[in-house]
Amino acid sequence: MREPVLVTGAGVVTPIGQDLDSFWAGLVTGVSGISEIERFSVQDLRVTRGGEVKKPRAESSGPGAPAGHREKPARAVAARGAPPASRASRFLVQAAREALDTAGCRDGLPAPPARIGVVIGTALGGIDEAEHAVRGEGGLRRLAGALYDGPTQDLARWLGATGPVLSVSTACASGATALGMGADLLRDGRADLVVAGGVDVLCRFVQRGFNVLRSLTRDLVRPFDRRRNGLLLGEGAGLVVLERRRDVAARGHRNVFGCLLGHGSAADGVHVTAPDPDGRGLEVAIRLALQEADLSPAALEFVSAHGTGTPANDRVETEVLKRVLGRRATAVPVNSIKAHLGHTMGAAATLEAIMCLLAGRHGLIPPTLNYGEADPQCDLDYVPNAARRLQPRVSLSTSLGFGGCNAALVLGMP
Amino acid sequence: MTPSHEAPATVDGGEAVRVGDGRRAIRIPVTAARVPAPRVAGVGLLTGWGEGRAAFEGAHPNGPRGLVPVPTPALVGERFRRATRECLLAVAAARAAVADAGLDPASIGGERTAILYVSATGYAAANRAFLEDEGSTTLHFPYTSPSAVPAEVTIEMGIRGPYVNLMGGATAALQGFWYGARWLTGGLADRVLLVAVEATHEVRDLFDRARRLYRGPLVEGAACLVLVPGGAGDLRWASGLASGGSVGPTVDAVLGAVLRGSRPAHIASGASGARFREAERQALARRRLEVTVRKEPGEPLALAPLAAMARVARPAAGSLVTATWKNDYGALCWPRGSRG
Repeated sequence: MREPVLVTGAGVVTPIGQDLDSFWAGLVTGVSGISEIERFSVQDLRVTRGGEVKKPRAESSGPGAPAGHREKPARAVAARGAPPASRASRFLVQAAREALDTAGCRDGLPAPPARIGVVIGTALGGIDEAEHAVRGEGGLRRLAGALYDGPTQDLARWLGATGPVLSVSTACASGATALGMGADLLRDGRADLVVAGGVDVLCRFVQRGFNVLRSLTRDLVRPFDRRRNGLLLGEGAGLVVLERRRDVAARGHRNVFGCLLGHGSAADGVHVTAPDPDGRGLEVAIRLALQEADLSPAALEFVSAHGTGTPANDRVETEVLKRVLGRRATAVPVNSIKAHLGHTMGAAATLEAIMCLLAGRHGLIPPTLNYGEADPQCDLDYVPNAARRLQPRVSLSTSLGFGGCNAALVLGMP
Repeated sequence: MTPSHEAPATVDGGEAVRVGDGRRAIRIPVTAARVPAPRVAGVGLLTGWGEGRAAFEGAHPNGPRGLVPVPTPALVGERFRRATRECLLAVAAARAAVADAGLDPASIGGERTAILYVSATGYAAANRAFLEDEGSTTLHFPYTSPSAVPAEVTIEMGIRGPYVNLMGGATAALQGFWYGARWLTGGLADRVLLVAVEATHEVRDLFDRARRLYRGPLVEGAACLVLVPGGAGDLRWASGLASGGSVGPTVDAVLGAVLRGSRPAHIASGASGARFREAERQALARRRLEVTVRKEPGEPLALAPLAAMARVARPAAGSLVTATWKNDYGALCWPRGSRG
């Protein structure tokens, strides 16, 4: 097994909660963050609902200084000029505050700026800025923010990080790939601390796009249910602080969320939007992640599935998990939190990884909501509708994205 | 814990740099990632100046200002009917690289071939089209995702190996070299297709507004390198964000981390902007080195390091390729004998 990389901090912005405590409480009690979209015009669209973050803290009191928050991040953030312009960047900054707090870095980072890396996954980048930019609004700053790496650069600037900065875009698998690459930066000695995760925001661009694709449901999101007929989009950010075990021990930090044991990615090579009907790429990604973790499938005690609620995705994932887990397949609980949050795209995989670690910490597995009718093609244990008392020591998180992107993470307890 | 700007005692690399009036040493602890170097087995290069390295190298440094477009490759077939120009360029570059490597395209498929896609702008045209045309349909939307571009390559060749897309300019391409070499070293793949595409013609007015971000003219193109195991020595990659007074120390620290005493015979600079170029010149001069490969007469963004490597990786002596994107400065030191 390669050098263990620990998750020492985490922070979230989600439609069901804008900190870890409310996120977790919402997950286990079955709160849905799906609502009518209010922030942009959707009246002409077939589907007008999504997992929208109402009143983000970073906006309610001005970016860079949320009300009541202990404003002492790693660096003198507020002194670094104007706050990030884009909603994605503000989500990242908000999540980063919590991630640094929980990592015990409230008063400063335990490494010099050049040793701090930032890796952000996103399916849309600064697309909400692009909506303004193509209308000719704003200057160079808005245009630069519209690029895919705009939010990553904004977060690095906010953190005062001057080490490696990577922007990953493997569509809806981005948040998993970002965590894997962040761990590799640590293993290769390019950084001593990495802030990694994913972000994406709801905007008319993406809501209209998925409407055009007719991927959205007018019903509830029902992962793995026989009646499932589509997904709903969501928005949010998830960030983790990654460090090598020896560095964590050296600074005496004890509040560790867990370990990132392995990750893998693989292409489908089949279709731009639809998953490979045989799930071969996803299976490769899972096996690569297990190989990196030096674990066999027998070690897996819980699976956080991508579970979008589309007919194809959920069937393919089920088939792949049955192949990977073999006879144990029906004994390993599998959940999807897409019905809680909507599909948060680039943030989804990171939020699901954080959920896995919280499940290990609290000894509870959040349920798959809106599950009522079993599908013969989806015949695993999906933890329907109620949280289950179980403390997974090793979890698998799977992700699939446009372009045939597949990614898998293996996570463990410290 | 207080953030420190001084080098911690445990830093295992990096450079100590004395700047300003010399009274205070700013130490920027940059360490290079080291990974066994791959070999460049094949190159596919299409730019606005023509196809292949010769056209690229023959471009006149005083060529046209503005944007140099690249002709759309004529790829036939129903599957390509809906694909964007970026997708067509990527497939054409990948086909050319595979042919240059002497590989049978039918042998590329499967899980032993990995793909890494890098781009700064390879999604902009489709995104703009979808943003501006409320009546548009799926002809645009799935192709607004950057991952649609490498997806067409994976579909064309049946690739099911490791897969990452990195967005950013030329520094993202250096990250791609590192990660591709890592996959090969880890035994995750037998070969890596490193693909870059930049197509800006449809959004040239937007890029005209952003000219401060790059040196012109913008040159469209697509590049693909086939990386395989078997290079000599270790490939070293490092990068750092710099602004204001930290440009000089950052450039010096990054170069110090990747060079570590080696003296590459070929140095291809991709530094943009007067401050980065001058800082790089000074940092190289301190090591009695200088840029040996003239800059391309234009800005091919993420293509630049691939094109540079295609030009310098064949010689028997080592190479250094540098790049900037916004305020990110990166360098890649490639040992000798990397082109086979």
